[in-house]
Amino acid sequence: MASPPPVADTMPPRGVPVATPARLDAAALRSLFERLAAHGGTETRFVERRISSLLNEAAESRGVLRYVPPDRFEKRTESPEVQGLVIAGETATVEPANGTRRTLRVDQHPALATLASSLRALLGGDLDALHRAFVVAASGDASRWRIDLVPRDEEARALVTRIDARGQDDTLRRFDLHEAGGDVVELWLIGAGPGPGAK
Amino acid sequence: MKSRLATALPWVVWAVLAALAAIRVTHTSIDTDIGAFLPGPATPTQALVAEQIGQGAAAQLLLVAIEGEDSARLAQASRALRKALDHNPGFVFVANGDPASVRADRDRLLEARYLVSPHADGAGMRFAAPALRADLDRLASTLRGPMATIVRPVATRDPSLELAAILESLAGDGSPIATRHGVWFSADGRRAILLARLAAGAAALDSQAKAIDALRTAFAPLEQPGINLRIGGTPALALRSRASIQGDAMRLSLAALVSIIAILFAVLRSGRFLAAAALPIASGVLAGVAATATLFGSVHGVTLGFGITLIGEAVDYSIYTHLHRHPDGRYPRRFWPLMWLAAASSAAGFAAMCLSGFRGLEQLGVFSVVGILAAGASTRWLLPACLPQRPPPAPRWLDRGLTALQVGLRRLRPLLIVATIAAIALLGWRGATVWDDDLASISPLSPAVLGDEARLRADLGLPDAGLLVLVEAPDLQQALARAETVGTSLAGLRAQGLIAGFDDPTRLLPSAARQRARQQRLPAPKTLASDLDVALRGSVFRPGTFDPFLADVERARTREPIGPAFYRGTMIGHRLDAQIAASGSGGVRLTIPLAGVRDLASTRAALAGGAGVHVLDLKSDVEAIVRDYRRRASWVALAGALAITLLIAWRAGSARAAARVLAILPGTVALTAAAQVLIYNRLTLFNLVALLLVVGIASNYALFFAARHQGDAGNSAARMSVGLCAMTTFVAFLLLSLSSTPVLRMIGSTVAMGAALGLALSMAFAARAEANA
Repeated sequence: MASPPPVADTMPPRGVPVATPARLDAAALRSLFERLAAHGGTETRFVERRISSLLNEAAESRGVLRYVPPDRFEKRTESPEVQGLVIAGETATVEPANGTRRTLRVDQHPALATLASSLRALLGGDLDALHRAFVVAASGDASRWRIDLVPRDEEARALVTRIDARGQDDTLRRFDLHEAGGDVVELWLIGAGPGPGAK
Repeated sequence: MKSRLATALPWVVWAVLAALAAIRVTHTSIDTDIGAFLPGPATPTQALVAEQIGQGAAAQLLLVAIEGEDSARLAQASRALRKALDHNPGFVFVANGDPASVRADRDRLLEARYLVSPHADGAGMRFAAPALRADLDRLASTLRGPMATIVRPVATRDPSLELAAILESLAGDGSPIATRHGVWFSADGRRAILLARLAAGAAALDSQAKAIDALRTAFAPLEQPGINLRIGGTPALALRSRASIQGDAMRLSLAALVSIIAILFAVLRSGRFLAAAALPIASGVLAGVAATATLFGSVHGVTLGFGITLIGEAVDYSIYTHLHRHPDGRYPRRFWPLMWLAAASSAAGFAAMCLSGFRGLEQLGVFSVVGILAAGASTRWLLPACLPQRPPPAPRWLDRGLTALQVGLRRLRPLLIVATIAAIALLGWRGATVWDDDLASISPLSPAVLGDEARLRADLGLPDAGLLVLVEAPDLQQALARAETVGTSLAGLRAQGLIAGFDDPTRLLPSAARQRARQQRLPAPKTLASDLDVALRGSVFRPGTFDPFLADVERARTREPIGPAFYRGTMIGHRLDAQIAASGSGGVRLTIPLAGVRDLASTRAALAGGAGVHVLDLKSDVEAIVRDYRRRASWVALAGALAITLLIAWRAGSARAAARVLAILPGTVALTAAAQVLIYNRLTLFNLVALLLVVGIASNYALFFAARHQGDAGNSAARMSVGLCAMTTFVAFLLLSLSSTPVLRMIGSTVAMGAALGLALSMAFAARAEANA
């Protein structure tokens, strides 16, 4: 399988309004999501980078991301330490590196709810669910697309101002979560393509 | 002139008394809470229990549910309702778990964290460089983990994640209330939940009613198909029981009155008789209420429910008086003595109650004795002049029917005797186990209402108000210090698995002494800054990142210890308000609810000896109070029965008549009680009181049947009058037994059954000479 070029290079810089003639219209977006839905489950490796004013350099971690339709989402971090997050339905199980495993209600934690609703909808191809939770703006074309999400819920917006999701064809490649404090968490899905290091 | 005066005098006396009574009655208030009917506390623990029930924090707390299918619309309604009531003076607060209030709580806890954190008493080296470095490394890994987005906003102020530790320790006691769309919901998502605290206390039920009306009014514009409002909590239940007792007593008394009138008119066909019969009824009720109100200041709803019994008794007097009159307007020689004996024996049964020392029973006693005597007096001195000049001929079908019934019953005598023996055996075998002393079973509320309430409480994760520790002290700081000691003991019990949890107010509000001790363990700014510098070297964090942390520690170190005012206006503040109350003796009382107590004896033992510390088990303590009450009421009932017995033995005329009556009464009581046990599998306090009434009624029947009457006409009059009396009493109480209020239902079914059985036994064992006449 030929490696496609890195997605990031082909995209406009963050925060700049996209105004290209190739904008994904409603019909194209719906057909994109139908193709995403056709995947069924997904399992892919990821690299996550937190870019923060607190940190000397970006904090990086790696692991495996799994989506099992209809509503199970797992993010297992393997390095630099083992941590886990499993969201199934309305409950989230978190396993911090050196803390005890805890079960939380997703609806009590807008940050978890935002993560769960966006990733589940993107990986499972549920456009209606995405529209319910976010103001959705799509750009690009069917082969290289970008979907900007702004949480509709005020509480969620107080923590996560915006999410940019980018993909190629029927695969989600990158998922940037912009926190209210200015931190950006980049999640690179590298199962079928080059990682974030490939420039 | 003189005879005219003699005729007018009773009326003048009556008019004056009636006017006085009417004035008193119009100024009477009605109690309905069951606590007011219960005895005064006998022990300090009972006093605390009674206070917790009457005035505990729960007495002002409303639980509100908005029910429906569409959770988004329910959440909208919840927010709108909260907003509409926000500045209503009837409410101290209305909470629905909205994010702003959750944030407000977190802000307070974040600010107080170094004074309230469960770690605050730990090692003093907590903020030394090595410990700080461990905290920073943990923070770095947290920022790479699943909770990163949640922790990040406070990371620069709280690198040791103290706030998370506090929240975790607070949540440890039970599952938090579920939240959907940013407001509290039941776990199944079908009910949006709000909590509201009323400004008015339990003593001001009318003000509470006003606030609840305001809540309903505020909800009215939000009402739409498929969305319902449910209001629970102690104030709502109190109002509901008041409404249901008043409504039922009123409605069923009216229905009873109408059916009695219908029966009497069908049999006697005399409008004038009916009008005349109203006189003893009205006199009795008026006198009873006025006397009760004068002696007690108010009248309890349960007492009023008994008003219906007085209607029955007073109607009986009119019937006896009407049917025993000769065509020439005179009465048989022995009639009035018999009437007096009937009234006196009924009154005697209740007279013992007046001396019981229990407020509720005393009310019933005074109401009944005064009512019966007033009805009797107006029957003797006023009624004859009002009755139709000539009594109507007895309807032959009724006479024949009653005669046939009596013949039939006489044949059944062996069966009745066997049944009575079986009944006594059943009661003897069940012994004390027949008594049900659970407050819920004598509550005026229906099981459905109590079930709704239990569900609402479960939605909110409120404990069943079962077990709690009260800590009393002369002032708040001493109370907090005592509660800290209690908290240590309780934590030990929790560690041993003897209790599941406890809600200790000192976790949010430690005593000032404890806060000062914690402040002294916090490092001075220079020390902390240099330790932090050391810790930061070689870490992933940029220098200067944690300046907000340095400022926070210094503020915590130098601030005044926090008091209850620190949390004012937040949900934590409301929670503390509910736990901190003024005690009766001018001091402070803290409430610590316990959850999941597996070993009450060990819990009591662990806390025993603590100054001002009381462990209350509300359910069983209340049951003990009710049991005590019921036992004493049994003695009172026995005394009443004895008074009736003595009166009858003394005045019944012949030893044989007395013997008959005195055999019939216990038989009636045993059969009625056994029937109640067979149907409901238990007896309560109210069955007991109703049985006393049965004794009064049945003694009247037995007296009239046992007496020798003059000739056939006399026998027929006795049979007819008692038959009619029993019929009206039976119908009136049968109607009462249809009430949705358990108390009224118990009284109704017991008395209806007792009237029927009393009539049957009286007829079956009537003086032989008459029955064969």
